[in-house]
Amino acid sequence: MSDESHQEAESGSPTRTAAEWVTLSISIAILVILFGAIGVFYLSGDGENSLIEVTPLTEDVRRERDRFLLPVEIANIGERTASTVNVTVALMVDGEEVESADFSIDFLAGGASERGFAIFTTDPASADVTVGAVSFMEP
Amino acid sequence: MDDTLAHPWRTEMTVFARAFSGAFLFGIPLLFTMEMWWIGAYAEPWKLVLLLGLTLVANLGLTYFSGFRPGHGWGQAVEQTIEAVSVGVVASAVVLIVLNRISVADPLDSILGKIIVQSVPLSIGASLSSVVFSPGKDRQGDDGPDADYHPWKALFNDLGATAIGGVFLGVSIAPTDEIVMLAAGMSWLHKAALVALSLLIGYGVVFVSGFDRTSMKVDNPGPFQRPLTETTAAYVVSLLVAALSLYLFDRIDFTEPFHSVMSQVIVLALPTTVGGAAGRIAV
Repeated sequence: MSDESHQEAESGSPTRTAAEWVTLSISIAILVILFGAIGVFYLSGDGENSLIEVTPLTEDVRRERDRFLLPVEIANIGERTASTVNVTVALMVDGEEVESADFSIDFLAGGASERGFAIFTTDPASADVTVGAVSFMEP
Repeated sequence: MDDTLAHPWRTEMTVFARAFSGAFLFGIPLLFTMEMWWIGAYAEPWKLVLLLGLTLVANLGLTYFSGFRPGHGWGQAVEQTIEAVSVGVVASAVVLIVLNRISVADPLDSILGKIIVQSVPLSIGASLSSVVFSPGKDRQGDDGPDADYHPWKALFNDLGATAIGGVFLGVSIAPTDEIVMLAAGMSWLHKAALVALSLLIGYGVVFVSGFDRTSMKVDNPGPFQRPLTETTAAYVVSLLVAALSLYLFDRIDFTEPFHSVMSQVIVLALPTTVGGAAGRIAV
């Protein structure tokens, strides 16, 4: 065993190459960024409650055979995550509901949005579209 | 001269390939678990900090006794702990991006939560990599030249081991709803990236990590033992194992549109590729 390696074995801290310094530095930076970002979120508190906003995209209606697909944007404009978000979409003609569709989203984080499709036999362009989130749960 | 000092970057690449290989081998089933994605989306920040802290402590213990670099002592263990957790973070971020579980449009706290939750098993896998697979171990279990080496025999050994390893991971993930959920939520760009990632992991685990290098001992390896050929052939076997696993568990049938079947097979082929690579270096 050489003197150098003998010393390394005794001290337990072998000579570090430039490559090892680079990878160690990147690793430390990743952890510092992670802890820093979580710390910022922790200090900024829980934030506002979940608030679900549903927007029908009536201009993007698609016709597939004898059905009309109405895209609906569901956004959580609050800051807390909502789970089991139930959304209902209805078509109204002369104040009467002629057709409705419901769907559910498993998880919607605060600030996140998802897109769903309501399927109708009536053309949404010929009716008034009413939308709304009817329920959600706190995970 | 010490190889570490003669080729520092190559050595470093091998060390990290080993760490990433251990991470994927250990953590891939949890990357395909929907509850892990959901917990990450709504976990409170103080719980994430605690989880990250506990992960560091667990990895410190593991790297003190094991680790993915040579060398011992608490100083080495602390450095490897930091690197192992970083490996877990990078590995989980890459796989979650490719599986379209996180994207730039998502809220930052949700992205961080998902990455941190997944980095726990992945970093532990990185720390355990040298324990699970001894670096430099021959596939046949000895270190001497293989007198009975024959290209076709080696091919069947490798592909058989790939299939067995792939089945091991594939059958535990194929029956779950996550496969169809992931396949439906990924664009074709994501799926192309997943194929590339699967090939890269398959290549890295067997040929870069230093866990195994049978062909290094063979002066003139057969056509199927060359890294690119073997990696590609093993991926084809992994696709077949994935398709068979999904079919046997009634997750796909031949009346479905081809693109739907193909999407699910590509998704399950990541775990079967990782299992297959583990099989090749274990057998």
